[in-house]
Amino acid sequence: MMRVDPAHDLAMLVLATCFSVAPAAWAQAPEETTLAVPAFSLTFSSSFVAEELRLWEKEGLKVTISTVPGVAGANAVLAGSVDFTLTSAATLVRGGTRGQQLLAIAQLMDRAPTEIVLRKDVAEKAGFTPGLPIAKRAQMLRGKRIAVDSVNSINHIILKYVARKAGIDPEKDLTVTPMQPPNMIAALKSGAIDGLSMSVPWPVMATREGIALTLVSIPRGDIPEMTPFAFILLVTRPGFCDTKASVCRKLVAGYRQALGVIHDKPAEATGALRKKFDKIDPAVLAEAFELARAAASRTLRVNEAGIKRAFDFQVDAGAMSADEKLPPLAGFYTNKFVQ
Amino acid sequence: MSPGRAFRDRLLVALAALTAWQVAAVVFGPHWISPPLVTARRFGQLALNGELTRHAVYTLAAAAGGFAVGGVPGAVLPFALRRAPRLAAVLDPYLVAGYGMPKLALAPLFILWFGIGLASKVALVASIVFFLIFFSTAAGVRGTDVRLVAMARVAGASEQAVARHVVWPSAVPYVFAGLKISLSYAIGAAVVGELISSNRGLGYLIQAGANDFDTTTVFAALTALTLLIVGVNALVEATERRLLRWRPADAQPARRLVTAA
Amino acid sequence: MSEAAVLLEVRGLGRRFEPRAGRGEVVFAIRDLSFDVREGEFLTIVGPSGSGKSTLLNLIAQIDAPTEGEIRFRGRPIAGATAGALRPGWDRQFGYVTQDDTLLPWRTLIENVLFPLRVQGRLSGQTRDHASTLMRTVGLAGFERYYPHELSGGMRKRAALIRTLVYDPPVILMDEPFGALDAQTRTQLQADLLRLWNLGRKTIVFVTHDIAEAIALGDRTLVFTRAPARVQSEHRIPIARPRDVRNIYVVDGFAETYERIRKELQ
Repeated sequence: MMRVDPAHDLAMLVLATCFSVAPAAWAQAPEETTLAVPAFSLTFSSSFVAEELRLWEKEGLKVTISTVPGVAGANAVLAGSVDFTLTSAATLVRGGTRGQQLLAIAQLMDRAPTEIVLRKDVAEKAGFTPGLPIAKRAQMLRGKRIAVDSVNSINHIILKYVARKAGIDPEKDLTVTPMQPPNMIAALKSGAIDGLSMSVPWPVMATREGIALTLVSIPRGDIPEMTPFAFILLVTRPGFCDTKASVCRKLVAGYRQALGVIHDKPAEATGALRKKFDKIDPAVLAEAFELARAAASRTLRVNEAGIKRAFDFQVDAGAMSADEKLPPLAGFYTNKFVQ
Repeated sequence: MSPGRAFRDRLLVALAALTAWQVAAVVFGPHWISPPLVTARRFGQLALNGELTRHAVYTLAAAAGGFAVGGVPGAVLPFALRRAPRLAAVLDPYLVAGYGMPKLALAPLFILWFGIGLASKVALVASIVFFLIFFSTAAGVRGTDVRLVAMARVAGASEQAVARHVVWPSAVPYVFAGLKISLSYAIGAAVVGELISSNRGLGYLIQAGANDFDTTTVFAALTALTLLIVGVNALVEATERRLLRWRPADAQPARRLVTAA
Repeated sequence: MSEAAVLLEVRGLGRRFEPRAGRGEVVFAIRDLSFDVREGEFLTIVGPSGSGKSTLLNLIAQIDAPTEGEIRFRGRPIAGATAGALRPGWDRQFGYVTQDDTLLPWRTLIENVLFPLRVQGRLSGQTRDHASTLMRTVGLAGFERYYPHELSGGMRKRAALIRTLVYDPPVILMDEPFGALDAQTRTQLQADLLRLWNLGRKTIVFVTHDIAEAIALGDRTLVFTRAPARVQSEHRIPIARPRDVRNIYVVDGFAETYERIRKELQ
C-alpha cells in the first residue's frame, strides 16, 4: 500500500518548481556594469543611442552611465570606482607610458569630430578671411581665452597641437579654461571666452548661430596628421574582462548595434539623440550628427596604427616628451570581443 | 618648552612623516603616491624653470586679493555696527545665513559673473574670508571691556577715539584668530576656483598633473601649496606677536594643532 | 570764616534697576539721596557693601542715568529729568578712579598716564612734563616703558590715580580705590593722595567701606544706609591737617569719631 502524504508532495512540488525556475530567472537577471562618459557631446553618440534605444538591455546588460569630465573618467576606472570609460588613444597612451595601464576593447570613433572656433568679432579683428591657410588661422589663437571640456582632454591636446604648430606656447600665450560644454555657448556670447576647442555639436552650434567662425576643423580635414587616430576607445582595467568576459562581450555587442543604427538608420539615431540634446536646435543637431557619423567606427576594431599616431601627436603637441618610452602597443588593446 | 627642544622634536616628527611617506609610496606604488625624493626632484625642476613660481604667484595673488577685498570690510563692519545696535540686530540672521552658505558651491556662479580670469577667484576668496573675519572681529568688538570704554569716555574720548584706542586694540587678538583661520580657506578657495576655470595657478597644476597621469607633479604642487600656507601663516603669526607684545608671556597666541581645510 | 561754594548738589536722587527677565523684583540701589559737596572739600562716604555707593559715583560721572531726582553741578542740572543727554566726565570736569584699575593693557605706563591728554588733544611739552612730575611724586619714575601686567597692583593703582590727575579735573570721584591693596601700600597711597590733593586743592568724593580710611582722609564723612541708600548721617572730622595717615589711630579725635560712626553702621 502506498503512503499518501499531501504535505510531503506539496513540498516536493514547490522545491521542484523552484529549481526549474531559478536558473531561468538567474539567466534573465541582467548583469550590471558602470560606464563613465567624459563629456556631453556627439563624440559619444553611440553611448547615448545605445542608452536611449535600450540596446544593452536586449543583451541582458544593465549599464549605469555617469558623466565624469575628461581624464577623470580614466582615473576612475583605474581606481576601480567605475568599470568602463570612453577615452581617446591619447589618454590611453599617456597613461600606459606613465604606468597607468588601461585596456581598450573596442574603437568607437576613428576620427576626431573636433573643431576650434573663435567668436566672430575676435576672428575678424585678427584678420580672418575664409581662404586663409590654416597656419595663419592658427596664429589668431595668441592671447585668446579658449574653453575646452576638461584639462588635458583630447580637445585640449588638439588645441595645444595647433597652437604649437603656429609657434604659440599653449600654457603661457593662451588662457585655457575647462567648462561644461553646454555653458560654452553662453560664455562665448557673453564674452567670457573668445573661442572653444570642442567636439560637435557645440562648435557647430556657435558657427551656425553666426556668432563664431571656424578656425580649425578636423572633420573637414584641416589636420591630416590626425588620420588615422584611434579617437574614442572603450577602455577598462586590465584583467577585468578576464573575470567578467560576458559583461565585456555584451557591452561591445550593444555598441555594435548602436553604431549600426548610426550608420544605417540615421533617422532613428537622430531621433534618439534629440531626446538627449533637447535644448539644441534640431537642424544644428542634424548637421553636427553628420560630422560625428562620418567619424564613427564601422568595425569597432582597435586600430594599432591609430594608437601609435596618438603618441606622435602628443609629442608634437608637447603633451608628452619624445624620450618617454612607449610600452609594446599590443598591451594596450584586444580585439577579441569585436570578432 | 625651550625653542631648541621644540625644534628638535619638530625635526623628528618631520623625519617620521617623510619615512611614512616613503613607505606608503613603496607599498602603493609610485603612481598612487609619489615618493619624497622624486617629488623633491620635480619640485626643484618646476621651481628652476619658473613654472612653479608662475603658478604659485597666480594662486597667491588670488588669495591675497580676496583677502584684502573680503577681509577689510569684514574687519571694519563690526566697528560700524557697534554704533548701530538696531541695524546689527536686523542684519545678524542674514550674516549668519551668508556665513553658512557653502561658498565653494557658488564658484561656477562667480565664474559666470566675473569671468574666467583672476577676478572670479578673488571674488570667491573674498566671499569666504569676509564672513570668517567679520564674525571673529565682531566677537572681539563685543568682548571689549566696558569698564575700559567707560574710563575712556570719562577721560574725554569721542566715540571715534574709543573705537581707535580701546575697541580696536581689544579686538586685535580676535582679528588675528580670524585671519589665521581664513588663511587656509583663502588659499583653498583660490585653488578650487582654479580647478574649474584656469590654466594658471597651483590648482591648475594639480589638475593638469592628475589628468596627465603625472602624480609626481600633483605631489610637487601640493608641497608648494603647503609651503605657501605655512609661510603665510608664519608671517601672520610674526605680525601678531609684534602687535601683541604687551601681553603677559602665558597669554601668547595659542598654537592651533589642527587646521581645518 | 567764609564757606566755600557748593559745587555739587545731589537732590532726591534715585536709581531703580529693573529685574532680570521674570526673576527678582525691582531694586532701588539709591533712593531719595540728597547731599551737597563744597568746593575744595574732601568728602568721604562710608556704608555697608552693596549700598549703592558705586552707583552714586557712576551717576555723577555721567556713565549712568538716574531714574529719579537730579544732580546739579555749579548750579546747572547735569543729571535728572531736566538735564540733557549723558556726557561722560562732563567735559573733563569729573575724574573717576574706580576700584579696578582700568589701565589699557596694550599701552605702556607712560602712554596710559598720558591717555586722557591724547584723546583730549592736549599733548604738549608742558603737559608731558606735568605727567613726569606726577610720576615722580608717586614714585613711578623709571617705569615709563613697562606694560601694566609687569607692574604690581600698587603701582597700577598709582598710575590710575595720576592718569586722572594729569588732566586736572576739578572734581575727582574715587570708588574704594585702595580696597584691593595690602595695608602698607594702602597707607602709603593714602598719604600720597593727601599730598597730591594738597597741591591742587581739588574737590574729592571718596567712597569706602573702611571707616578708618574715611576718617583719615575726609573733611566730612557721610554715612549711607543699606540699599536703597540714603544719607543716614553726616560727621565733621575734627582732626587738623596735615594728617599723619600712618599714625591716624592715635591722633586726637580719631577714636570718638570712629566709635560714633561704627555704632551707626551696626
